[in-house]
Formats: sequence, structure tokens, C-alpha cells
Amino acid sequence: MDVRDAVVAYVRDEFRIDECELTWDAPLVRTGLLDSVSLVQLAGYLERTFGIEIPDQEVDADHLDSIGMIVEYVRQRLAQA
Amino acid sequence: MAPALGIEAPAPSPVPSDFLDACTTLPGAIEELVERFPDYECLIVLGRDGNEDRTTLAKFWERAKAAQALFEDRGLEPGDHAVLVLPTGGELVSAYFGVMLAGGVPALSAAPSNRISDHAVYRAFVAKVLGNAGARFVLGDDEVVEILSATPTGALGGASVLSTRDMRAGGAVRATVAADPDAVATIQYSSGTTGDPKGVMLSHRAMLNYMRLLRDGVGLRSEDVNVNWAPLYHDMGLFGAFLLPLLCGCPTVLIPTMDFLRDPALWLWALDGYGGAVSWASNFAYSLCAQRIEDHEIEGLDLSKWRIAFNASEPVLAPTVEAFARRFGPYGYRPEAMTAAWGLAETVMVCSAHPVDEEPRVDCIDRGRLAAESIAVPTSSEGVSLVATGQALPNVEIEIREVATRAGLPDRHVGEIWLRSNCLFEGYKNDPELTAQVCVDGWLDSGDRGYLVGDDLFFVAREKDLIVIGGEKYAPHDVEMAINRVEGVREGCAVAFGVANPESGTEELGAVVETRVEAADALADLRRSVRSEVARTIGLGIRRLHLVPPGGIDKTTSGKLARRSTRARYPEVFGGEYGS
Repeated sequence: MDVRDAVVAYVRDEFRIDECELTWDAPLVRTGLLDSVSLVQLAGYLERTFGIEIPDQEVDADHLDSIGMIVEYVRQRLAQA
Repeated sequence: MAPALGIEAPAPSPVPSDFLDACTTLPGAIEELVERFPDYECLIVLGRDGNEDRTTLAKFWERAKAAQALFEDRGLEPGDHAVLVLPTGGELVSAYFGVMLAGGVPALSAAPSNRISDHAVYRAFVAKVLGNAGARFVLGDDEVVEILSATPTGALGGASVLSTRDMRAGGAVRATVAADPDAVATIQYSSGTTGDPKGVMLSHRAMLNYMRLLRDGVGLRSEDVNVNWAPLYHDMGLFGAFLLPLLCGCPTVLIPTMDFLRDPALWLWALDGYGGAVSWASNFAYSLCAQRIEDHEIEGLDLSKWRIAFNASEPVLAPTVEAFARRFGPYGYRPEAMTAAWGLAETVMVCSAHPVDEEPRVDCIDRGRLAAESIAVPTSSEGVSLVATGQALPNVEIEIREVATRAGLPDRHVGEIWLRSNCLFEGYKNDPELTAQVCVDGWLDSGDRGYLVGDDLFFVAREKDLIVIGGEKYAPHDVEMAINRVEGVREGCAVAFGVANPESGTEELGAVVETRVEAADALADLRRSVRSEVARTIGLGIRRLHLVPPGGIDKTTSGKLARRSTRARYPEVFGGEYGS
């Protein structure tokens, strides 16, 4: 599964965010599109879907703020596996 | 993951099911349990990584005594209040009783990770809770202590910040301070992490009456293993997940809330592994599990021992109930396990529940007549489907009254839900005015609207404007205040409300905001700013944000915001009040 497609589909469907707002760089957490509970749910989804582990301290806007950051984060984790 | 947890079901409880009958105070009840059954494994805390903390009553007592010693050493006197800000775990539950054993009154508050990421906003919230409770102490873990210690002196109203690190077992065991059954035993702050905290004061007598009536109403037995992840600062968590099973002698399994949100299947595997019979959750959790758990996560799952799946603290949606039964039926889940319930913190927790072992009852009613005449007329065509939230529990009376005259209404007429019971609260802490508004002649105005069909209560809507998302309550006023702080928003011209979303099984936050801004780029910036400010200060994302020119918001003749009529102007954005 393409990481980007999966992440966009999840964020769009789960949090009802307009796809046009889901550009590569648009901040999601800092702009309030994703609240902290949504972010925890997103982290869980990434872990289960891609079989990666995300430390608690990395479930934040510094690591997972935009589609681009999320996709790069997952790719890095997959590469390390 | 979860199947490999290797968890073992707890040993059968030695506690008789009628244990609570003679108890008059909470410390008295726990002390007697400890004396009679010290080796009984009463509590298991399960983490996402599969680690367990299994506790016998003797161990639980030792920890509670350590907490008592800490509070006493720091100067807690009988009657003093202490606020506990801790994630679900052994420390929180021990400290809760530790405060009581010292004669104090515990109150729980949400930990920062649950919603608010901005520490300054979080500090202000905790300060308000401390102020309302008149608390002399706040106990937290390292994270909370660090956040609160950065608070300017005096901002916490002189409350001392204590750390769980200082809760040390050993030393001389202190004598338990005797409690008065009619004294306030706990203060419940259930209204989310925003606004002015509303402290619901509950006496020992009311809490124990409540536990007995719920136990008897749903036939809770001490052999029933309870498995829960609801946050303990929430009434459903404190009573449903923790106090009720613990004091009824049921083996009690707790999962930290964030661990459930990250891995919902953990809840179901814990029910399977521990032989869980009872669990409490709000509707969104059932929806989340039905939609988001994949087949490969639950291979071999067995939910056949799950006897009561309480669904409470937000509207129970028919599509969710059906979807959950469809999804997990093949894994042994029985549709009759779903037990819709209704209630509020002012009467401890739920006070009506659907009969256990009967499938949920759905009433399909005419949408037009509901909206125009406030009558619930059954229809076979496309109508509003409401799930019965059960029948009044023993010692609870429920009446439906007309809003204006408070006269009783017949079956199928929608009005305000009033109730009376032997477990009503003592009032709101430091707010006699608000207490007098809702308590009239021994009856409580629930602030909810509904109707009766025979003994079955159907919840229709909240009378008060309140947003409930995932079982957590938010005041629209707080969201509107946050929006009003954003430059470009017309001062005082923002309304916020909850919009039911049948897919997620809960409400989502909607807002209509007036602005004079017209350029597309500037409007996009404004949308971002509004969302950002609300997320920062309230901890919620606005899912449906509608920017309108001046005049786009309705106000009453006295100038107050008219949230419902404003919302109704934009059905294309928010849908109809009763769906579309």
C-alpha cells in the first residue's frame, strides 16, 4: 500500500477533513485540524497498518504535523526495520 | 500483538455479591474488604505493551496507606480537599482512597495528555478546579508536577503540589480517619477540560446507595470480571470502571485510556483474555471498534463471555449498535449484551438501563412531527431511529415534564427528563444558585429532553446547549470565546455546537463565524487561525467551520446567541437537527 495514499485516506475519512486541505506541507496539528486525541488515534493507525512502533514522545506536532511529515516518518521507520 | 499477551484470567472472587449491603462509608467498605480478603487479586492494570500490574487487596491497601501518610505528613486535615491529576493506574486508585483514609475529600481531574497540549492553558484549567474545590493539595506524576511547578506563586490558590514519587510504602501504618456517611465523599468534575469547572458533590451514602441500586438493577455479581478503559476523571470511569466493581468485589481490569485509543483491539482482547463480563463505554468507542479494527487484528478473538456492554454518556446511535453486532457477532459477541443507559453525574452515573439480556430496542419515529409538535409518533417509513436507554433503576423515579409549566406529560410526548432517587448529589461545590436551578422539591432537572414509552426512556436531545464528543462534555461558550479572540472574527459573532455524526458514532464540533473578510486567501488564513486557537485552548479540532458575512448568525431579541436557529440556517453544512 502506498504510504501517502493510506495516510491521506485515513485522515480524510476518520477526521472528515477536506482533501483540498491535505496538501503535503499543510500543518494539521498546529492549525487545529487534528486535536491531540486524533493524533493518538492516527499514531495507532500507523502502527497497526505499517507494523511500525512510534514512541510516545514522538506522537506530537514536531514529528507528525503534516501529510509530508507523517509519510516521511513512516518511510524512515520502515527503512530502519 | 494482543493475542500474544499471555494474560491470565483472575482467580474467582471470594467476595459475596451482597457485600456492600451493610457498608455505610467508602473507607469502611474498603477496610472491611481488606480485612476479610487480603489475598484476593482485586485489580489488574493492563498496558498497551502487554505489561500487567496485578494487585491484591493487601497490596492495594498498602499503597493507599502510603498515600494517606504522604497527605497527612504534608498537613492534610480531615475535610480538606485534594485534586488528583494522574493517568489511569495503580497510583491514581491508591491515592484516591489514600485521601479518604486521611479524612480528606478527593477529586479527579484530567491529565494534560488527554486533551490540552498547551501547558499554560492546562495550568489555568487546573487552577480553576483547585479554586472551585478549595483544594489544599494537588497530586500528580512527574509531568504534571513539572507543569504545575512552573506556575507563578499564588496562581494555584496556595495549593501544595505533591508528587507520586513521595508516596512511599513502609513506616508506621496510620489509623483510618472515620467518615460520616452523610459527609461529602468525593467531588466529580466531569464537564471536560474547559470553562468553569462544575464540582458535583457526592456523599458516601449517595455513592453506596448508587452502587447497590446499579448492582441490583443489572444483576452484577462478584464473579463478573470488569474490563474498562474509560478515564477515571469521568463519572463513567470513576464509578463504572473502578469504584463499582472494586467495592462489589468484582475483579477489576483497567486499561489506560490513551492505550485504548491507540489500539482499540486491546480492549476486546482484554475482555477475551480475562473472561470479561462487564464493560462501560460511550457510543463512539463501539463505532471506532466496528469501523477501525481489521480482521487480522482479531483472529481467534472470543467475546462470548461479555454479558453487559454498557453504552452511556453520549447518545446511543442505532447504526452503531447494529454495526457493532454485525462486526463482532462472528467473534461470539451477543447483540443482547449491548446495554444502553442514561444518566448524569448529579445522580452519580447512569440511572436508567436497558434490561440486561434483552436486545436493544429501537423506536423509529416521524421526523416532522418530532420537530414540529414534540411528539414521538412511530412510523414505518424513513424516520428518526432512537435506541431505548432503558428503564429506571431501583429507587429511581423518572418523569417527563413540559418545559414551561413543568406539568407531567403522557407517553410519547417529548419534554424535560426529571428524576428523583436516593443517590442524588449534595449540590455543586460553591454554587448554590446553580444547584437551586436544577434541584426542585427533591427532584432533579436533568437538562435533557426525552420521552417515555411504558417504562422505556428515550433520549432525544439536550435542553442545554452542550457539546458531547466521545463522552466528554464541552461548553459552547468556551469554544466561542476562543474563536472571538481571533483577529478577523466579528466580536461576539461566533456560535459553536455539536453535530451528530452517525459514522463516528459521536458528535463533532461545528461552528458558524461571522467575518468581514472577503478575499479567498484571507478567508483561508482565518479558517486556519480559528481552528488553531480552538485546538490550542480547548483541545478540539473544528470539523465543520462555516464562515459567513455579517448577519449570518441569529441572535435573540435580547441579543443572546441563538445557536440552534443559526445552525438550522445552514442545513447544507450541518444537516438537520434530527438528521436528514
